Amino acid sequence: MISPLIVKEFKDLIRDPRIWIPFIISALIMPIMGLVIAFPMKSAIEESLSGLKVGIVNLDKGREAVGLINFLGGSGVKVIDLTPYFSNTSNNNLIINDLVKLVKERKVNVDAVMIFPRAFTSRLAMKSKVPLVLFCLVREVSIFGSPKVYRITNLVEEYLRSRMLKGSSLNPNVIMNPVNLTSITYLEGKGILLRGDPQVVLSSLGFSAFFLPLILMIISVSVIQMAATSTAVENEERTLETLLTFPLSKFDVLLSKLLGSFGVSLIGSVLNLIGFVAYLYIFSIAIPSQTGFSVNLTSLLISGKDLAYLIVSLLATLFFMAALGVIVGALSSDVRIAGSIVGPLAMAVFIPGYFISFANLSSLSPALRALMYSLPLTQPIALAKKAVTESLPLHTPIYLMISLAFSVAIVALTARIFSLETLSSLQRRLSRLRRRR
Amino acid sequence: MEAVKVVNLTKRFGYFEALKGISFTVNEGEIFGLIGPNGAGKTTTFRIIAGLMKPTSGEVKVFGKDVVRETKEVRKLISYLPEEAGAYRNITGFEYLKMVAEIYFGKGSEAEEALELGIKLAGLGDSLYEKMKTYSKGMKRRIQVARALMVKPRVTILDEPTVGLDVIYSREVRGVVKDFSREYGLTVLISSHNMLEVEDICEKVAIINEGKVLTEGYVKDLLSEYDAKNLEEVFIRLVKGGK
Repeated sequence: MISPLIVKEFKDLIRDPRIWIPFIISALIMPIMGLVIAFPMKSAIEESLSGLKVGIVNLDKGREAVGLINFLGGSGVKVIDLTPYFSNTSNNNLIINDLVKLVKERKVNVDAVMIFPRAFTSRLAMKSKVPLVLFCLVREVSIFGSPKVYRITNLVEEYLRSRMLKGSSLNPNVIMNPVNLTSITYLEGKGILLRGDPQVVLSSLGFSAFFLPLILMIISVSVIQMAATSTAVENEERTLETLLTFPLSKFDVLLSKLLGSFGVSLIGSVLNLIGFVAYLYIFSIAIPSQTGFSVNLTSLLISGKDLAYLIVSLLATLFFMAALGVIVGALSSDVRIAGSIVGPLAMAVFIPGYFISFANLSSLSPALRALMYSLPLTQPIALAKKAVTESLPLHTPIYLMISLAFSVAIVALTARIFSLETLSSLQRRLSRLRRRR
Repeated sequence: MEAVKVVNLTKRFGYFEALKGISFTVNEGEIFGLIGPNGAGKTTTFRIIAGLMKPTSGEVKVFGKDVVRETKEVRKLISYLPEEAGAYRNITGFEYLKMVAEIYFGKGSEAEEALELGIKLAGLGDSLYEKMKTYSKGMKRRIQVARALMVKPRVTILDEPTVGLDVIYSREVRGVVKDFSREYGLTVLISSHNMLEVEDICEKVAIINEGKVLTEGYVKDLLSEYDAKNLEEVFIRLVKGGK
């Protein structure tokens, strides 16, 4: 009997531009964000590889200083000799002060200046640590501003290493990486052997635990918001009174609201997910990973059955979020009040999820662990953590049922207090509070 | 047969007593008017009969069913039009009427008949297929009146049904309610602060003021009892305390 009401809820929401425009905007914004971050990051890296300008103040004038300058030039760095400006001084502090003046007068346009003190060649000949001053010019603060500096120091270190090892049978690469390490990680729970750096393997596996709350948070905020708004609108636009006189129970009314909002939120969630995947894709193709980090590693390790359980769990959590939204909306006299409750609530409900992300589940007591596997707010994260290292427990379907039952139970509880009288009583209390203030 | 029986009904909101022990009876097939000024307690009374609010004390029965203990059964018998009934912005008038018909009757021929009747009662022509956010206040009221009557409830409760309507459509609504009650033998409870309007449509009235029923009876009897030209005069005499 509630199907006509569910259809009405769905139509009323899906036709409302205030509902679908935010979903589309957030789906479009995420890939744009990916581009916005990836573009400067990519150009910072490219800039460090080409077009790097380094000024040289060569007080040493020895063979090794010239050798390093030639090595830099041969590695694609544009070298500009600034030595003539400093022919009368050998004091580093005075040189730096004069460099600052030159930069201010715009006589020098470089990314960095390298000062070779007089002892450079002799110290290198003695195979001692060589003195070198690197004067870096920062024109603006950027997260991706450091690749240029890394490029210069890497080239300097590379040259010095090869010079220091000259004449010996040692290979500079062997000195840098003395171990030919073959790392094998064994996932005890799944009996799987994984080749690769344990740090990379573990960070890939842990990825799901941090990634999942993030996706959930993005989607859930819109789900709670939409469910709360659509229910509060019934109060605000005076349609609730009529609705409550239909031959339906209050639970039916709230359940229809919940199912209608959930249906629309699923469409919105798919859009959000597409946006998020596009964001990750843009990010990954712009910055080729050198770490061996792989998102697919996690998905390859999860069996089809466990993946299905995970999807059901995510849906159950979204259903719970929609239920929370319906409750907030049902107890709010207008959309504004619902909105002001939903904001902080959406953030607060993720605290348990983040606890699970960082906590070691096996250290929890069996009862608490079962609770974490059953609560809609912690379940998908707990299950995801478990699924990548071992198979999900046999009783996972029971946990899923409990999670769904939890959502239905809170709606049923709300239905018991949901009435015009509760609303008017809440409104009276609210106005009394406002008067007191 | 008694369609609605209200006995010693009281309702308190905190310290405020909205209804102070009112009683009245409406027989099956009657059009009953609850009249009084704004804030007299009409809407509260109707909300209690419709099962939207619980009484503080007293008893309300609809066709012998208690509105507190048998709310679900009572809802199947009644149809309620609140004074300020809004409309869903993104749903068309047609979709709304169809939804109501299906909620009451499922998807059978009964629902189709109710929908047909609703379309006729609303009389909105092609506008019925437009979203209700485009409707004027009067059009929204027409949809709501049609919605309340189309399911042919045994008791229809109309709280200020003509509020916001122009003179012509107000008259039309009164005509529809009268004909409807006569044709289908339906019981109708109407509230209005416009006493002259109620006189035009109701056979029996109760005059309510400050949560108390001042008098109850057939319109003709009251006019002759108070030697008044209309119900407005009856009300003024009752409030001032003299016949």
